[in-house]
Amino acid sequence: MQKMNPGLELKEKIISTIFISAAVLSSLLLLGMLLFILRESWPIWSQVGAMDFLSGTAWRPVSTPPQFGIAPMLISTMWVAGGALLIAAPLGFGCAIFLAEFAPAPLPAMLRPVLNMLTGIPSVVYGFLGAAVLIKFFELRFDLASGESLFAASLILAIMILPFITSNSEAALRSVAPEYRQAGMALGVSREYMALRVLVPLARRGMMGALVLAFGRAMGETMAVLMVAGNTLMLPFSWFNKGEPLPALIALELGSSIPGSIHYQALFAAGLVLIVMVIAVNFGVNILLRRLKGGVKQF
Amino acid sequence: MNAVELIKFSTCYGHKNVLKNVNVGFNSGSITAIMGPSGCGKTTLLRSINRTAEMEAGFKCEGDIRVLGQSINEVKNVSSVRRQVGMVYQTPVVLPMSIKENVLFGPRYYGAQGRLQMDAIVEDCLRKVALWDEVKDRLKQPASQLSGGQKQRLAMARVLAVEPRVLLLDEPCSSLDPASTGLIEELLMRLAEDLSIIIVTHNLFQARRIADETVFMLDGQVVEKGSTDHIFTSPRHEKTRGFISGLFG
Amino acid sequence: MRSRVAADLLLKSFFWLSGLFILLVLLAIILYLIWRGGPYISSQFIVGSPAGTPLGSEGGIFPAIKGTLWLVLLALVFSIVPGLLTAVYLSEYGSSGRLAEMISLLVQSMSGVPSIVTGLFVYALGVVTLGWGISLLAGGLALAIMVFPVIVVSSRDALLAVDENYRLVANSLGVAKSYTLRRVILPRAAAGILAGILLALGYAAGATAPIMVTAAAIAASSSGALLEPVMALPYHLYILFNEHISINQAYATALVLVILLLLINTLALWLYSLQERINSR
Repeated sequence: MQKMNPGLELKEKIISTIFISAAVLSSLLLLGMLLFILRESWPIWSQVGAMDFLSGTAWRPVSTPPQFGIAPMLISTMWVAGGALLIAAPLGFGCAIFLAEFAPAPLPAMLRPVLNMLTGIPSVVYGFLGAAVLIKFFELRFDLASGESLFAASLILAIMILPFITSNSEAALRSVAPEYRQAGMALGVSREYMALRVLVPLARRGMMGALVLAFGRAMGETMAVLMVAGNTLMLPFSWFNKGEPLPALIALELGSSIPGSIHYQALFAAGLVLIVMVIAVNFGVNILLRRLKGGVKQF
Repeated sequence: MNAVELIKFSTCYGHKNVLKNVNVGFNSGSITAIMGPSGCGKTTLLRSINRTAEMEAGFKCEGDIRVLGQSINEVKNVSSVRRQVGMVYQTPVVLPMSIKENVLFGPRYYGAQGRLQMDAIVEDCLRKVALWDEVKDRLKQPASQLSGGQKQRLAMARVLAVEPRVLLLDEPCSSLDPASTGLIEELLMRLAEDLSIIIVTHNLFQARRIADETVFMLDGQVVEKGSTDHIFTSPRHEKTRGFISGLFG
Repeated sequence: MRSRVAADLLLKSFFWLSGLFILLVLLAIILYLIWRGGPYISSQFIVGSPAGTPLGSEGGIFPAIKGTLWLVLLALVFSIVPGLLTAVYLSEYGSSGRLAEMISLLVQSMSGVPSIVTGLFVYALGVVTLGWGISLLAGGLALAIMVFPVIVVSSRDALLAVDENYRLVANSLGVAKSYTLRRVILPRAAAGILAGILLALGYAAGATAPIMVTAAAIAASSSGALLEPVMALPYHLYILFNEHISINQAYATALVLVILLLLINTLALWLYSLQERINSR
């Protein structure tokens, strides 16, 4: 046959260079976005200052002088996401344990597509149903003038993040080594006891990881909260107050702000705060999961 | 003449020293068996010769390996080393394509063209591995339908299609039935006329059947090398004797 | 002992109920949408344009359907090539190097970026700085950035799931990685890759926040002109409800959107199971 073709070697080098460059450039996109947003929001950080921006309770972009404090939005964001987690975690874990341990054979295969489909439903539909159905229900049942609240938003978000928590937790539970199940059964404990006292602690890190990731998603969700949280700029004092989480703030005011104005820059600052919070959460999860891999080996 | 020669060759993966100062030569036109307990470095040895060992993370090596007189590390193009030194693995692996395309996988890359030429390559290689008669009517069917023994022979045909000078085999028959094993042993003995064959095997009967020389390895080092009969009947080294008698059990 | 049995029963019921709850939620959503929106779906609804006063209270949603299709098409055009190239790099060329780990981390972090922030970024870059205005182009770009990490992760996983032995054997023959990729790995992983792209498509089709600030308008012809605003299904739903235009049209729009997404997801799931069957052969 033919001798070695030197052209093949060069061609391969070119091809691998293309792959590497594409990967590097694409991943730089994230950094590019961060830097860009930082630059657009810079005047806020230098003029208003981070402390005042984060802790100020008044958001009055059009008054003179304009005031930019996002504390109410920060609190709304945390409350709505935290509340969603509070509602969704027990249900999500319960469903995960059900799927991993108790569901008889055909059910897990049936329910997993269901979970998949739930994640496929767009957030605007959840928001719409929340607003059209849930809010109306609150208004009628509790005789309120307006049923919107952070609580309603938490409820809707809970349903949205539920499938996510369930799938990740189920995966964590299933990856627990079978030796532990066998040991538990050999001891004669009930399945319920074993699930709760043996498997969950072993899958603990994966399940916590799922929670933290879900928290990040709930923080960043826009449409569902936009339609049911009430959108007032006042500081919320209870779960049943109205509020305006950061994503809603940005979505509602971006279009009407004048590019280059201090209002515009403040919205970018709000965006930066949001993205930093979520990325911090994601980074934390990655480090946690990395230790998880090492942790399981120790067992 | 030595087809393959290892000179003061050592490798390590990370901190683990796998091969320690190995000096050994393999004759051309003959079959050499490598035997030894698990973990003694036989597979690493093979993979170092065709330069696939370096694909694992943390691989480092010292010393030299010469194939047909030329150092494999000095060669510009790794690909040419791998083409000259063919490897057949323990688990029969067929590519997810037709029987014909499996054989032509290498040739197509290296520029083979023309219906006639390619058909000739396919027939030639399949005949060499005694598979032609069994599959000549279904060359276009998926290779996954073949039996284990047939797959292993196809893997050998695939390697032969790129015209190697050396053939390395890592326990090629360990997952096959005796009939297929017999077929492959026959074919190796035929191939040995043109190729240098190095075969790692656990089966001492196999080594006695087909290998002209045998190398005994222990703990990353070559303990003894000699003609197969000699090694098995009157080994020089204490450790070799221990290993052989352990096999007889 | 009795309290143990009671506790066990309680736990067991809780686990069962949580499981069934999820099933109920999905059924409730779909059935309710069908009940409230079904009656208002007609061929006129699908192919007609918004009409009536206020605009949208009658007529159809065809421009919104068109707009969504255009947006998704653009999003895929911008994201598939970089996404696949990056995925191939991570699975074939990067292996376990430090660079690959970092890129993987960056891409993974990108999937956590809230979609509104992506919209914010493209608003400043495209709409304002580059002067595109509220446009299909800006919306497509925003959606592309949003789905890029989805494509990378799903494609990379599909590629990694291909039997390692194939690469081993191909390498031993001395052929180049790109050759093995082209002839063995990509065809083998094609179903899984396609499934991931479909999921990305669905994700883009249903996203509201990014297009709300970059592309969407209450009424537009959605003719495919790059620098014109477009209508889109999710945004149309939002407007119909929020501006109190028509609750019935809103339900019908929501139903159309959900059916579209369920179809896409089902197709993707089918492709995934096909891929599993291929991988086990």
